[in-house]
Amino acid sequence: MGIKLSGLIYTLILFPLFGAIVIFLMPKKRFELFQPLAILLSIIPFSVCLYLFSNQNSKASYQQFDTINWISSYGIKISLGFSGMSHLLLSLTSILVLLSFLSVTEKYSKSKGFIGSILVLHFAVNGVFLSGDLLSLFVFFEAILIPMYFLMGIWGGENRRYATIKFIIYTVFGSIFIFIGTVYTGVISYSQTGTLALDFVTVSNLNFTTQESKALFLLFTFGFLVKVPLFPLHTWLPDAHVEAPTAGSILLAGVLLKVGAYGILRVSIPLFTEGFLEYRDIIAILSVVGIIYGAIVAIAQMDIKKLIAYSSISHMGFVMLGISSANLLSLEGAIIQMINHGLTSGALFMLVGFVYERRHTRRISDFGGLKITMPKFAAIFLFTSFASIGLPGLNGFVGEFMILMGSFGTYKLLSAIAAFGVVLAAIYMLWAYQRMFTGEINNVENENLHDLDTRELVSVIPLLVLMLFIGIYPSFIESYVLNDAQIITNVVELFSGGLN
Amino acid sequence: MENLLLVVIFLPLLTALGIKIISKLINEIILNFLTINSALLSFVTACGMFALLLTDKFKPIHIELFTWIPSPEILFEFTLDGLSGIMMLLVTGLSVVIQIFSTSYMSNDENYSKYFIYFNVFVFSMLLLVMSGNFLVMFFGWELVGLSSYLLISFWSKKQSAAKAGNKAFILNRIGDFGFLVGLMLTLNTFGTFNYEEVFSEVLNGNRQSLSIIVICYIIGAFGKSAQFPLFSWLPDAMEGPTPASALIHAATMVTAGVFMLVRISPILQFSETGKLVIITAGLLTALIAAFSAINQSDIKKVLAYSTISQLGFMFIAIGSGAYVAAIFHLVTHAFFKALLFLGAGAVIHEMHHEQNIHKMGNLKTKMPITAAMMGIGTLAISGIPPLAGFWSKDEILASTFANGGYFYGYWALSLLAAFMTAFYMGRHWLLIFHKETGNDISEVKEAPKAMVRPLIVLGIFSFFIGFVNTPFFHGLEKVLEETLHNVEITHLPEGVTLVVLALVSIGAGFTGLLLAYLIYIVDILTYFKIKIPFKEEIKVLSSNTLYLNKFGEVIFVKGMKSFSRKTAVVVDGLLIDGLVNKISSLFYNSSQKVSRSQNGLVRSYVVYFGFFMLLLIGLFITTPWVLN
Repeated sequence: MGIKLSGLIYTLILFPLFGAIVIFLMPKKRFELFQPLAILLSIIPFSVCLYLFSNQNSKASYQQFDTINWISSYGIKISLGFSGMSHLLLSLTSILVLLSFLSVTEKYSKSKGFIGSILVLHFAVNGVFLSGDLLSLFVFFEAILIPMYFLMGIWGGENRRYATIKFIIYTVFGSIFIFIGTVYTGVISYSQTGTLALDFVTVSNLNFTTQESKALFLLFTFGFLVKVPLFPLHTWLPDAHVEAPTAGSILLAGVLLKVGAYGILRVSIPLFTEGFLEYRDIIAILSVVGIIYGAIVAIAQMDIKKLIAYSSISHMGFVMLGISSANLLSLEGAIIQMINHGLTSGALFMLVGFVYERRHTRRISDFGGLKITMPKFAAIFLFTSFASIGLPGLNGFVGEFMILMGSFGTYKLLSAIAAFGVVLAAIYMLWAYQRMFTGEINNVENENLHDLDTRELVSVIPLLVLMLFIGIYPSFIESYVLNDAQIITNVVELFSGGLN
Repeated sequence: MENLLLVVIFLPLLTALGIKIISKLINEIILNFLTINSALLSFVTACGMFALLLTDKFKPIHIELFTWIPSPEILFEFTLDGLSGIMMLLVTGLSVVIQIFSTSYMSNDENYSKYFIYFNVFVFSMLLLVMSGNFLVMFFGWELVGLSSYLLISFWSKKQSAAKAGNKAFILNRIGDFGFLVGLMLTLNTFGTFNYEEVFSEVLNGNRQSLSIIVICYIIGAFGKSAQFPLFSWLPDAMEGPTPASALIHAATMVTAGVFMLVRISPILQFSETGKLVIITAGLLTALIAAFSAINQSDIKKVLAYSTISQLGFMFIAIGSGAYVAAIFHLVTHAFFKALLFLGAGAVIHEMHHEQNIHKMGNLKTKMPITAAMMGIGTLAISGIPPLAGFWSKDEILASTFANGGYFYGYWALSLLAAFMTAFYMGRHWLLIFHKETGNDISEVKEAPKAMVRPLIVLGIFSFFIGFVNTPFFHGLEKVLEETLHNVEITHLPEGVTLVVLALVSIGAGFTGLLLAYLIYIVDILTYFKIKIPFKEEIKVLSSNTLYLNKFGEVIFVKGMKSFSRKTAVVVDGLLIDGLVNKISSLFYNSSQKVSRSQNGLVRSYVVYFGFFMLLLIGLFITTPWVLN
């Protein structure tokens, strides 16, 4: 195998933290080096992820591979775990972080706090995707908030204070439930095994009563759903997206929303399956409401970032529908949709960032006729819009298609309603495109905009390539999510069979 | 040998990519050379493949390209049988002719190369659609033709109206696609596969659960793409696109995709009486409404657009009455004469310096004799005058509808009315443009350049003769489609005298329509005999406004949608959900403010708290002394 897997995993977690320390230790007056250094530093985790694609373990279902004793007298350990789903999400994170650094402009590139925060965020997110026990999952989950707080609170837009506090309070409010759930699981674990072992393998072997399972499912899932966000827990998202700086929005939409869904797939469903079977209908209904509702509200938005934020609610609704349907196809679709949404909305926020740098406005009505002055930008925006709309041949279609085909087996009517979200997506995206890009230029300020430069093209084109690749040949990505989806399907089938 | 099929399909895509890559380096002439030769190569290969198919008695050829999703196994696969063979020839052939026309029509446009890129992408998508071996590949093509149609309609997107028309087309099509998508879900969950052969054989073997719903879903899809009532209003607006693109996409090929699809699923469709009834009723309504609307249009392209919708209605009538061969036959003949009419209109628009109002034309036959003659052939063909192409196919549709008997007699009579109206408005169209003496200054108009006229002549010849491929005396097309439809029950034409009488009646309708147009618009009998048509002005207004259906849709759906979404955003999201969130947070804030007021830093307050608390404790101990133990 050449390189040991655990070595790579440690690199993935620790290297971003190391990078952050390096950036903080840099002398302040050498600010011109911050951005190149950050790019170099984030290439390492990215190449590790790339390398892992050649490793068979990266396709495997969940495996725990390393534990460190933390408080040995109580048997509290830190475990690391890894599966195909983690691998894909880690890869998504590392490419988005790398491209965010590339796309960062002059203003932020000189600030070590900004760059350091992103690296810390990378560390925390990687931690979530690699943690193998409830405690470290919770710690990393909370750790995400700290860099996010700085990114939004310091480098955000005009209304950043309100948005930041709302974001933090919302998420912390959700986290309380996760924390209670973790403690509760710990108590049960202590009574059954005599240790406070909280790693996923041990917890999955505990015997929960139906009541316990339901309660724990609710506690964990509520916390995760705030992060997804599921309707009606979503109102932090539009504010956070609008006020966050471009790189913050990219990572927020691209990665942070996936943390919640990841938690549900990794913790809520496999560990507390009975609870899941009890409440899946409610989640499915709320997902479909979210799909339609998010799309309808998106149509009315006048701020392009807000529009994309509401479209995220709609797209994440598809993910949750796929998850709650819990059959092989829908689960595969849900995981793939997580990746796809990360790529597409990441690209959309990056593009909006480019035009914001030029015009310092995000109001759709301030634009118009941009296609004339910025043809390349218009073409790329349209391409990404169609990916988001779910045009066959691009990535958005793959996830939504698999989810709909799968969930139809479980929820017929709900899936049919959800399919109408596809129509609404075309309405809000194309209408926004029409207002921003077509027609004559009737605002003097739009007359002398310059088209995307090389740096900007380099930062966005890799995402476009991935969108096309996944759309045309989804078998590749499917092979990485198959085992995860299979395991969850098996667990769910086992329990639902046991109940009947 | 079979792999040559991939050449036919992917050559246009490669051409589009090639032009995109080198577009900065080449001029129009090199670009023309590339795109037309590649279209020719694609066409020639298609002919070769069709010959191969012919020698093998139309036994379907399958090609599997790669696995799109492994479980449930969904392949990227293609099928070449009689049906897709005809469509393949039609698409690639018309692509050559119309591209030659475009080289002249689009010359000197600032986005010249972009036009041909989009055009080639369209041809590729359309081939994907027709050559598909399963429902998923068809959906790929289905959506991609929607994309290329969107791109070409909004080609001149500096004009806000063009951009809007593109959006409208894509969104209304998406409503149809929603039906298609639900159909896909049902198909996969019922049959476990998307492959045509497997699905059809399941159905033929008796697995017919929820068949009608599946069929209805696909029908909704077909209505969107083929602009049937009530999803038709995008097609007249789509005329904002370049005219040659309209000829290929919005007349000859893409809009017939719905017809193609329904014929493709005819093994399922034949078992759903509801489905067929929906199809024939919508088809008839569409044929009548669109024909009525075409009567008073003044835009040279809009008349043709409504005429296309109306003719598509005829094809749906054919499908609804079980005459699948007649539907495809009319699809083929219509493709030729409608492409001819559109290109002719394009030539006129080009020479009239982008004037599209037919009332500003008149007597153009003196200036553009060849165009006038060719348009004349197209007009006669669409009016159903023998022996031109349209006669054979339209008559076959009418006769097959009649042959079903029962309430189909009513459908036949109303279809005949639509056929009569067709002849009337097409007669008006040609006469107003080419024949009527008006005072308009047309001294500077001259015949279109050769690159435009020659394609017209080619299409004119086809419009004249193509009808002979399937006549009551020679069942060519029926033979081609035999293998595709061998498990499908087809309505056959009536025999002997009935057939002759029906043919005479439909010829009569055509001639009467043309004659009436001549009498009204040229001889002007209405003024001469002082005939008063009751409600004439009202009828005119209704016709030019399409019975106000577009305005109705605009108000209800577009404005309604916008205001609904605004209200949802403000009321539900802003006031309700976010209001609740803010309420909760302010509740915490206010109560913490109140609590913090007690910590005012005054010693006397703290003494009071202390004393109060002590009293409380003492009281507790006295009332419940066992706490101390």
